[in-house]
Amino acid sequence: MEQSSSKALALLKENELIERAKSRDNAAFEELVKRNQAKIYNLGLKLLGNKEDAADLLQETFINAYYALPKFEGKSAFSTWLYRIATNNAFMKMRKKKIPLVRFETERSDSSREEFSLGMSDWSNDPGAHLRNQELKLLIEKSINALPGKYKTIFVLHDIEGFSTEEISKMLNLSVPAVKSRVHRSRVFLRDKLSSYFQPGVKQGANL
Amino acid sequence: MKCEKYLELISLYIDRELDQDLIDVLEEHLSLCQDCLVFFHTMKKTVTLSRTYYKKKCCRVPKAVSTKIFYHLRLIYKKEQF
Repeated sequence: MEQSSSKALALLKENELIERAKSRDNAAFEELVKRNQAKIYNLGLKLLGNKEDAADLLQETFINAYYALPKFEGKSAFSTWLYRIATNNAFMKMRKKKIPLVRFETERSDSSREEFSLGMSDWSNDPGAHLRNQELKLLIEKSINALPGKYKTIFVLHDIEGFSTEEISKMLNLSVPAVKSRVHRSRVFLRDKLSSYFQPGVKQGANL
Repeated sequence: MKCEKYLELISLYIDRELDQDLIDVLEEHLSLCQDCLVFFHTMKKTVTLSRTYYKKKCCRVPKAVSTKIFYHLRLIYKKEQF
């Protein structure tokens, strides 16, 4: 395959680049890497929590994508297809590190399972103002990291990256109701963790 | 219906994926139950806070990481040529 010049490639639309990369125009593939690497790197940081693993994930994802590209049929967006490869790689890394994928750690030993925190105040209205608080930032990060791997992935893809439940169900081979249920459980878990910041005196509610 | 059952609908309600008949049922309950209303608001804020936090935290790919990927890819191209 004739190799394109990088200047010309920067002007091409993504589907044109994909077609060229499929015929092993390596410069076209590298342009796809350049355009998508930040998304995948940041996904890795969120899912794995550190730069080294995020860098490894990024490299593995694009190497896998290079080999798998001839099979890419364009049924989903290219970035969605990359996310699928990246999340599968992230699950493998989590397994290796023995990070639980679906099991919630039970911290509470009391048996009185309240459905939710009663009498909790409504927090405040300005998320930006809250986020200037270092303590809250750390708590958000810690709480998201405490989610089991698959829940964390679904929460990040849905609530942070903005993928629909249908897209996530295809990405992770799960049913749509299963994705919706996991989005909900993740939010309940996180809400519960954050409530300790907003209402330190109130006992945390149970995971629904 | 117990509060617990209403709370299971909250995420779908936030995501505008709830059918109209259930929206009516839930909204009626929220107008009567302060605890569930607080739960709804704090769930919404959990999502907003997490989203805002990560938006501010977006990182660039370090140059060395990017260079390493292209180095490995070029080794693969070479291998594939043979």
